[in-house]
Amino acid sequence: MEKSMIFRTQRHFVIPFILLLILVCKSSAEDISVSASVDNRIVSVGNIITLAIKVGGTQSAGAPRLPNIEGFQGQYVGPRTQVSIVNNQSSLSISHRYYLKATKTGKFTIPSMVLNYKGTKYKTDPIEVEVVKGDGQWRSKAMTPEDLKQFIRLAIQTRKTTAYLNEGVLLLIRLYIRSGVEVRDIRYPTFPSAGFSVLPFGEATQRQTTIEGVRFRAVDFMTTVYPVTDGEMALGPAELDCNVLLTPSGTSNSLFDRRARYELTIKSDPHTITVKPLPTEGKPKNFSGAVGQYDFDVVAKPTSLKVGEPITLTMTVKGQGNIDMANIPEIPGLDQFKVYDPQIDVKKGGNTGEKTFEQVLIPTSDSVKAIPKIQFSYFDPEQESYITKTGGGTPIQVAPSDEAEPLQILEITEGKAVKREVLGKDIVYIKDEIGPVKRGDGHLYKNAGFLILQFLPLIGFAGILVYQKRRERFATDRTYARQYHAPRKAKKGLDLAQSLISSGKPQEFCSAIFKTVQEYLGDRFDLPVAGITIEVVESLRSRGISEEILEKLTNFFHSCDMIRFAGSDMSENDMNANLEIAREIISLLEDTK
Amino acid sequence: MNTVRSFRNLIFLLDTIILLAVVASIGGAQGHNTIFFRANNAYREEKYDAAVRNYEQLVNSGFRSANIYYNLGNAYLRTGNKGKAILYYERAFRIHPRDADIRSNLNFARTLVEGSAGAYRTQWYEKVFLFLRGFLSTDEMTVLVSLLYFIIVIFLILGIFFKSQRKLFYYFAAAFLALFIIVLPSFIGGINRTGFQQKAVIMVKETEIRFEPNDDATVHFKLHEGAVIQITRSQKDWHQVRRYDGKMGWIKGDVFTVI
Repeated sequence: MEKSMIFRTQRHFVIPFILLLILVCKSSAEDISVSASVDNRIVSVGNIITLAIKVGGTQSAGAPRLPNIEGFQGQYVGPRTQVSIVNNQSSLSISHRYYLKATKTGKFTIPSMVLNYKGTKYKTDPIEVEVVKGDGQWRSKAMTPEDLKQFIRLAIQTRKTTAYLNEGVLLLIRLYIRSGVEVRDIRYPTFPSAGFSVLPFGEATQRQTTIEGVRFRAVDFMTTVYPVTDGEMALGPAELDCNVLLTPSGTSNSLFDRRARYELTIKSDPHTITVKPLPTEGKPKNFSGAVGQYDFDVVAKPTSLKVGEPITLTMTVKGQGNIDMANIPEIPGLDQFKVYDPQIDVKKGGNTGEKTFEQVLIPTSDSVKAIPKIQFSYFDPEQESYITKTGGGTPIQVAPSDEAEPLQILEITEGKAVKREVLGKDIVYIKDEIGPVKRGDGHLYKNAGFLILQFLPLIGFAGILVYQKRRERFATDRTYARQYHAPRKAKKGLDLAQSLISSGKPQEFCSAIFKTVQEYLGDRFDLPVAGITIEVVESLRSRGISEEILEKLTNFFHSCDMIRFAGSDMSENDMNANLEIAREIISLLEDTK
Repeated sequence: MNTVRSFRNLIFLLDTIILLAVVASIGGAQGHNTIFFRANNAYREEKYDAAVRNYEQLVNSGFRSANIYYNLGNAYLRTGNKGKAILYYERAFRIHPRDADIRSNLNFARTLVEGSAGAYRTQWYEKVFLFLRGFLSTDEMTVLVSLLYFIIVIFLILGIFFKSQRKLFYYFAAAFLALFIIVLPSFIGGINRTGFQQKAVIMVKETEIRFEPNDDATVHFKLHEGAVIQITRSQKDWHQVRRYDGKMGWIKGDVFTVI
């Protein structure tokens, strides 16, 4: 068992190994081919190209010696083997790779290389490569972080150079990275912003741009600033931290440079904005400082209600601008309302936002017919003027309260309304009687007695159901009824027989005890009582009655027949013995199910 | 002889115990009535503080009645204690929701609450499914539900015994079952109100409801004395509460009393 398992485990390794061996042997019979290739035929000075000498048909060919190549420094990297199966045809190969670093510009030729394999010389074809000027010139140079600043620049600018107080001005901070420079871990820029309220930056975006014929990658950080002081206001200079990957000094001649990570802080020039104060001319009284372009909406719900019920007034200001400056509009004419503190909810997304004021009003009179008109004013910097928008004025129906006495009753005299009666409001007087009193604070549904009482109907219902089912069975199932009553009837018969012993009547005793056992057998096995004699005993054998009981029954019937028909004498002891046998037979049959 | 004497002594002892129990119960009944009338007299004489003391004595002794709570609510309102007044009106209303006086005084007291509507607006589903809550107390609904349940079972039993009328009895049982199903939501709502989702009344002049259960959390809204809140969750001495308009927040447990 163990052996077979070991074999099964080993089989997983052995079979592929054999297959590989077959492939190797098969492949060795194939022809050898040698070729040379480079990954790039045009390369800039300082950059590296990879030369690969591929030997097909074997994996045991050694690396050919790299000749001196003009314009390049070369170094052997190592072999790479390959097995491929195409259309059930396998092939083996090995590639020897060399790094060639371009050292000067011009057109150069990688000469033919000679491979000696098993005494046979194989030659590769020469390859022409052009080395050009390019980014590689500065990349290969040992750069310092200071040198790099000419390749990474930061600029700060705004969409507008003149703005009003609290007007949203789009601010752009752009990081220029010259193509080829690797910059990592760019942090969000920071800048001094005294006199401005600044929103957080959005997600940075990237794009390519060309400046004076040189390609740059531009990373844009945009936000909105709100000037809070008028005058000539300076923004910046902005600063940005990032990591730059570059070649450390003194290692540039090494073919396999390891680039180092330098932390760099780039700084922009400052930027100035002229901030104008808001005009005083035409400024509405309810102007609270909101500058931008806004919509104003007022919704009142419900519009049909009773005195004392609340109306929710939802005032929404949304649009472009500094939404924080939008204060709750003043609601005029609230003398017939009870007013509660408003709930304010603000949703912002850049220079746009939505501010909701939820105000609960409760009309104190049914004479209120409409929600007051509400005005919201703001300054539009595009139009250079103040704008006032109006909402509300919604008609409402206020019915008198039905919770207490009506507040006012219209008096009618000869069909004319003449006077309103104003009724007072106060609490109803105390009660004279104590009323039904309970002790404790428990509720009825927690009372244990009450809960137990709830089970009684279910228990009663279940009991009655069982009782009724049994009654129905007695009425319809005669066999079951006979079997059920058999032990009780037998007990009665045995008690009668017992009483006959004491009265000294052996004949009557025998008849009674015989009848008892006869009836018990009839009921127990659903047989006609009259036909139960000693002959029936044999038929009980087929019903699984034990031999012991059958023997006792046979003896019992014999004994009774002797007394009943032959008139044999029977002492009191004999009668007691017979009674005991009858009891035993019935008891044994009861135990036999 | 000794046995007869012992038996007589036992009978005498039992008689004495029964007599004392009867006297004590009558005395107790008279006692709480006396305190109630004394409190009423104090109220009539506009001695509201004395009235409050006497009604409170009854409540603290474990006596519970809609009228005690109602009168106590009145006495508290006269002393300017809106929170306690609303608390006892609410308790009286739960015992006797059909009493117009209780309803009227409760509504009046609610109008005195600052900063909120004071009471919950009935939702449509409450009107449809919990319609009995406004008419029956929780105990009354308990009896009604139990009675319907007993009647259903009795009809089922009758259906078992009287085969010829079985169908008729089962129809009756089904009709009462339908009634039971209609009444059950109100009953569960009543239990919910008194047991699992308790309501409480603010007892301080003004309190702040915060977004989180700590003293430094931002204030969501304020509640004033007498405002009714629903307690939805508890965490140490902080409780999450719901206002009449559904707004939720956290409140410290020493500023309200459960109804």
